[in-house]
Amino acid sequence: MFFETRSLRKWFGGLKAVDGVSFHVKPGEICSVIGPNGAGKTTLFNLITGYIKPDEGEVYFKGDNITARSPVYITRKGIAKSFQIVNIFPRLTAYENIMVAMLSQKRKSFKIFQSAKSLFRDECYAILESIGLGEHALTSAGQLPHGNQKRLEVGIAMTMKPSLLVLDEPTAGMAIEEKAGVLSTIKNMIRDQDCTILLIEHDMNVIFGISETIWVMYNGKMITSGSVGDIKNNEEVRKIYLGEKE
Amino acid sequence: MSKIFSYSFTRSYFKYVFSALILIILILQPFFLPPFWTCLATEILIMGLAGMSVNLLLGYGGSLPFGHAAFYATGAYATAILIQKAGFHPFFAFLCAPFFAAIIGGVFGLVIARLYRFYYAMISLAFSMLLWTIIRKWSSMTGGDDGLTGVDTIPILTGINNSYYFALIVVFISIALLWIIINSPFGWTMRAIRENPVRCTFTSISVVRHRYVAFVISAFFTGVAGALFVIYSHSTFPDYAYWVKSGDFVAIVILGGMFALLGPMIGACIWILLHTILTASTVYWLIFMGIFICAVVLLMPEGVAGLYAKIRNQYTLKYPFLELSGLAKKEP
Repeated sequence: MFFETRSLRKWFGGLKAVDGVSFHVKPGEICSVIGPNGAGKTTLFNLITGYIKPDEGEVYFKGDNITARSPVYITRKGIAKSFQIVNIFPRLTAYENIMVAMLSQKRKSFKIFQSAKSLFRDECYAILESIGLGEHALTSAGQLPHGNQKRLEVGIAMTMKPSLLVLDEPTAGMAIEEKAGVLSTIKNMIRDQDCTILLIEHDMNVIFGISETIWVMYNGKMITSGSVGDIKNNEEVRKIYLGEKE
Repeated sequence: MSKIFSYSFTRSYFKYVFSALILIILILQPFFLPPFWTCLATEILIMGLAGMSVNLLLGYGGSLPFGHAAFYATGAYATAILIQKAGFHPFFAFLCAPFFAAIIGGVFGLVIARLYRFYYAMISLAFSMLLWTIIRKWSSMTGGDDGLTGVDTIPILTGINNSYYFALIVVFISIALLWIIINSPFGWTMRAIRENPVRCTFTSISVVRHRYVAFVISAFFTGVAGALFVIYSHSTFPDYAYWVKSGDFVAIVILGGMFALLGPMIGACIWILLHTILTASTVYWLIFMGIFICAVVLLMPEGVAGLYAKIRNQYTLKYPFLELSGLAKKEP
């Protein structure tokens, strides 16, 4: 199995944020996790990517048990994450943000007797162009508008050349035109880099537009999964998330 | 892509010309100024180097090292002890001493590199005071409270001018190495760690390991400064390890500007000149130094280099041709 979790559980005090979640992702697919606020989606993603440690359960990636491993290890294994709240290097320029990630991905971050800016220039610029920030390469990341910061966020994750790209609300706070841009970038990534996408989104148009498999989470549990059509027609999902049909 | 290269090249052109001018002044200075100023310049160079080492962790690494006096003192005492007790040739002792500082940095760093903010500052302070206590108590080796005096210097460095030129050469080489480190992949990774250590872990950057290596490198160059000071002053004392010395290093970094490579050198210049003028003018010089530090922190938090950058950027808004010529400084 490419990626799966087995009975993941995480408590915060008395609150069961993730309560026995077992799900899997097939290679090469775009898999979405949806659910109302407080369902535990972000906590689940944090457990998967090593940001927090699960209380019970296991996570397997390409046959390896990556449960409770550090984010450094998990990223090196091939899972890259983009954050729900923009988490970039604010005083570095957009180019430098990508450059730092690239240097780490190429395992050059300890090199001292080389000039950082002369390395991998073409590749960094290619990534900036693919996320639509080619013109803003020399702008401080902190001064970019929110939509561009989100693109940069995804771009940093993409630079790590992951096999599984975990995106936590990649289009949150963006205008419709910007969302289309990010989505086409994601689709290009799958085509060019043979990457699998796992994402959380609240915009149903985005979810139904690009997902191949949708998992629905509620109160810390996975209640169902299926294709776009299955989920749209599922009564239980409608009741808890999409609202009653009028 | 070529935009990035040409922008940084034209921006550097002005800096290189200006730096060359300063270097020429420094080389010719002993021929025009009395020996007092040559001594002062030597002390400024040494203190500036120590400040730049601290800045590797503070400005470029985002930590607050408050115990670097330990490495300064280790460099100083290692030089003096190797010369006086082990009979080393002074030049060889000078070459070996920074490695002792790096070893002590390697030991302290095992604990300190895992810490952040307040805890980082206080534990580094505690370790340096531990070393200060050891220096004072181990009088058979270190001379205790009396320190070690009459330390032989490198034979050709008799005279103030020769000591000054030796310090100038060593500091120049050290600055060149620090410049290489800061612009290397390692240096940029440290900047990223400063900006967002959490994001770094998700970019497969081992934050603790990088901070540890930076700590050891910083300890090494601070040890060079300590060793240089013994070569210049022929003596070493326990208060080289006292926390006030660590505070001085942090003060000159903040004063000169922590986001510029040579910021601490500017800070050392201002600090030592101010100290010299104030101590000659009034017995209450400490009050004025304190007021000055408060004023800098409140009015000029990015230091002299930061103030200069702000003025230059404001200037370019009025005169866009400066932006095109590459004289405008971008955000650090």
